[in-house]
Amino acid sequence: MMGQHSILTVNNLNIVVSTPHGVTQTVNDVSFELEAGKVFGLVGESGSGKTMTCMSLLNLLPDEAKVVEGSIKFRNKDILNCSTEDVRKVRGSEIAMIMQNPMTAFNPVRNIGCHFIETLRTHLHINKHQAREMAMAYLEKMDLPYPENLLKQYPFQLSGGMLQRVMIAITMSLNPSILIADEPTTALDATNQLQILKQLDRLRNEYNTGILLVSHDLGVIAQMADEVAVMYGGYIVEKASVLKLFNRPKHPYTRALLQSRLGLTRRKEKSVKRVSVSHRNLINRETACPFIERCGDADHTCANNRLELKEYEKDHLVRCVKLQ
Amino acid sequence: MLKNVKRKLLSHKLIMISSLIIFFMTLLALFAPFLAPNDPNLVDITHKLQGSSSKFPLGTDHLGRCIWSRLIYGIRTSLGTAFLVMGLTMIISIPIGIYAGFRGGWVDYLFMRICDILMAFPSLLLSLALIGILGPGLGNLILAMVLVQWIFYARVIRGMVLSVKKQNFILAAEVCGTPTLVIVIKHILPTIISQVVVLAFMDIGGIILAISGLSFLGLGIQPPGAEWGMMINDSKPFFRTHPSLMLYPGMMILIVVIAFNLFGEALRDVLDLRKE
Repeated sequence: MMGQHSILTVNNLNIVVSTPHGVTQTVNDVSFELEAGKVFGLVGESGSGKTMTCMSLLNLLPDEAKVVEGSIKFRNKDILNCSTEDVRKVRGSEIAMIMQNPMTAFNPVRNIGCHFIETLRTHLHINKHQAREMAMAYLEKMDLPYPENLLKQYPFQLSGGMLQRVMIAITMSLNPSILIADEPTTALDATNQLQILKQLDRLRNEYNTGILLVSHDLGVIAQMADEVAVMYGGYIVEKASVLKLFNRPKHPYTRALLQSRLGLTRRKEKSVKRVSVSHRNLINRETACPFIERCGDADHTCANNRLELKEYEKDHLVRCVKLQ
Repeated sequence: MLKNVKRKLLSHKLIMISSLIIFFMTLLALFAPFLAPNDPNLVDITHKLQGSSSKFPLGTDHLGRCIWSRLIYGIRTSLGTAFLVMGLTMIISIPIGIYAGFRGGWVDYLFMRICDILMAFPSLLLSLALIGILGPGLGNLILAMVLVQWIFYARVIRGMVLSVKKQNFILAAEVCGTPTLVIVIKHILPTIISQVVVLAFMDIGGIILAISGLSFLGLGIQPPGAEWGMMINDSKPFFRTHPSLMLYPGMMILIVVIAFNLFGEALRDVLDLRKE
């Protein structure tokens, strides 16, 4: 593939989390590449390992979680084996992240200006006045009115959408080469969602930033992403370009996921396949397909084969025994 | 926000009354040499156990010392010692509590076990034992009280840090590449400091009581220094004939402790941002 353009390469990432009940394999064999100016979408239900994958990219996994295998390479730098100080310098300036819930991502006792200036001065050698000017310029770029007043305001005085835009302004100001957007629109209403997505798009076009877009909103993914990976139970079950994935989904889970969308024109269908909800056992899992309990097509072959992400056709990878 | 706090402070009656008392007491203590009519430590047996007169506003004790002067100088010892104990306690417990809470792991575990051991003893008993080892005296009293107090505060601060540490904005700051020290100083400390200050103010009363208690037992200030607890102890033999000797210092302790407790509680109401 286009390895020479990729800025971030994740290879065979495996993360385990120790819980009081045992060790869970939260992320299994996840590999992907992120290129400059491209958007890589990561879709999956809750608990499929999306956020864990994101946090591992910044080496910020919680104490209970551990990367047991695999590598994360950012411009020939091994993130997982860097010193803490080196990783810290990468955070924010090289790999930035937009948090899921903007309302809680700001310290309630400090105003917006404090947050903005603190981040700028962590990475750039500028004085407070310059940082303030810069912050104002970037807030203006995000179409936020009265940036001067905004800097003096406290997080609870702003709406979720505004805070999210402030957060994007902060990340933008450091001009990172990679932006991790972990469900950036989940906590927002439709109007704000649109605005945020527009800004992300601008970020990609103007600054050539590579974006890792994590979402369970398929509409957002369809609109933004160039390449999409679908995660299930810690595995990437299907990875393809956005058009291929949405038009010709191969994995049963992807198909079920796409069928579950509500469309404006959908007629009352009788044949909508429902995916039964059952608790998947993530502990002591054998080599069976993670989707086996909920898959309509599953039979004995699914339980015994070691699953691999295989190329179904060019640039379209599927992890399913039936299709190989 | 600051304006809001100021307005609330002014409209809060309790806070106004209690802070007035504290302010008045502080003034008395600061200008004690000018306000005291007599030398508090001057022994004059010829004037012993007198009633109030123009020379001695509240009379004299069994050694003929002016009670009013001794009360005023007593504010110096009580408040001064209490604030010193509290300040030293904060200086020790804030860094340790934050470190244990933020760092977690074995450091935290070790700290918690030490806490468990020390908290198994009643704190007054522990400070009594410490003073017993160190010997009586103001310096040793302060040392013993700080050594007993800091554990409690460090533990509370650790708990606060634990709850703040898990908040999203700490993660957000980390994601932005903020150095750990900056996170601690600029995010964690401002978030917990108001609660810590309130806690400290509510405890000042307790510390004053403890100092008086230990002095009453003869373990704190040594004669001829003026201290309320010691004054009560001195007046024990004359309790039946001259109850006022015991009453005055007792009243002072009561007023100051109540003022500080009310102030602390009112401060908590005002600074509690979560209620808004």
